Amino acid sequence: MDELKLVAETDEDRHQAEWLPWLSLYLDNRLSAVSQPKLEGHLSECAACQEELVALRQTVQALQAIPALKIPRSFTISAAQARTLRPRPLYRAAQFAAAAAAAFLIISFGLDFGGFFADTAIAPVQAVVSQTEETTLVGTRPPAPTCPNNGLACAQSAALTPQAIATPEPVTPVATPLAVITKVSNFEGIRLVELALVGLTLAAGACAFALRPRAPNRLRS
Amino acid sequence: MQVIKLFNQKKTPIVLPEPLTLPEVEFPTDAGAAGPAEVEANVEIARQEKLVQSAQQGDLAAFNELVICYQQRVYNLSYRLLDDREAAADAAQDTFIHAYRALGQYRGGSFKSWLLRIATNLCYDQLRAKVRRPSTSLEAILEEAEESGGVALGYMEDSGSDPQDHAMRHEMVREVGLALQQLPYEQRLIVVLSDVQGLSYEEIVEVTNCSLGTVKSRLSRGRLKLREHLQKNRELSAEDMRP
Repeated sequence: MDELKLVAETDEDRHQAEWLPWLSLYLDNRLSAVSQPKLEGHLSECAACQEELVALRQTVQALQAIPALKIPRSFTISAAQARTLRPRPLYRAAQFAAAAAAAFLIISFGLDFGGFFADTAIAPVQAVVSQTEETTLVGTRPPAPTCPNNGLACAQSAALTPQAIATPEPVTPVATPLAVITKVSNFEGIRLVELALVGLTLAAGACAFALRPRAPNRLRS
Repeated sequence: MQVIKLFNQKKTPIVLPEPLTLPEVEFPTDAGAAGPAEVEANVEIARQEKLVQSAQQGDLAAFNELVICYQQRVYNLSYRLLDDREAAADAAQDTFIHAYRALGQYRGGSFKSWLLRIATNLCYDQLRAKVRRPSTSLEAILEEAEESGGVALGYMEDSGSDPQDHAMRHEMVREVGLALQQLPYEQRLIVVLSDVQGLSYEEIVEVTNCSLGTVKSRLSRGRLKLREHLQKNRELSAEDMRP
């Protein structure tokens, strides 16, 4: 008996699942031309679905009969309140200026770090260092070798020949801290431009923030 | 029957053509033409479109006229979704603030749907971030009203109705209101928009940004669940009344 009851409940559930969703659409005349006659045919035979339809119709009518609540106050906006809500033209201009300055700043930084403004004259720096060392070496004399006999400088020393003094040995350029810097910007003006863009971005941003439209906490008439 | 023969001036008989038999022609009826209610609705829509255009150009008075048109609808929708008078008033005010600021983004279509969409989004945000405040829910208001003799419930009704009908109607409204609050938010929204606010399926699609199939499905399930809740509540109250 219990098993039969269980089966019946399952059948009833299946029956409900099949037909009940159509009832709502039927109430609103939203069933298709194919489905509507099908449902109407079923309703003519099924008392349970007829009851469901009546109950559903009563529910919808109860919802439609809910009266409207009165508003507690007017929700219109005064002129003074509207001024704080709408963005002023100066706000838009400040926004645009901040955005444009920031964009140019990003491009400038990108080009700078990418080496677009890099300096390629590394040789002149090394040549300056080499010239300085040559000047120093030409002015010196190697120490005179002492002869074991009388202590006088030996005339046969190759370092004392006029040719040796006149033509000093070539000097190998030594790497200095200056030459280690491989990319040095020689366009100092870009630094000023970047600083100016930073200043403009900050100033325009601050201006836009100060002029931003703000909604009051609650507008009460 | 007397047959009359006609002759022209030249005395030749005039042969009259046989009377024409007109086929049965169905003249178009006025069924396709807009009735008075529809004409009035179209006029109102055109008036509101002009108000919206003026408001977009900065005319505050035009915007406030639109507020007056829709404030009751927006407030009632918010109340049915939030079940709190203060929260509903705040949501309604926020709706018009947002609408005023976003007028530049309105690109035509149904202004009503656009406004109600803002309202439903704000109500949803409020529900998600809800902080329990002293309740001004429907039940609390009705309890207060019962103590004060049913005065000032805040409904817009005619005062000339029968007291018994009045009481029965309030009881029914109370039951339906409580049952609505038991629905999941998505179903409650669709049921309120359709059956309380009277929007069509297509308007609900515009307001909720759901598909038509989703609207139909949620409405059907919402109504069925509401019917179940009402039936259950009545059975419970019938049991309470038994000695």
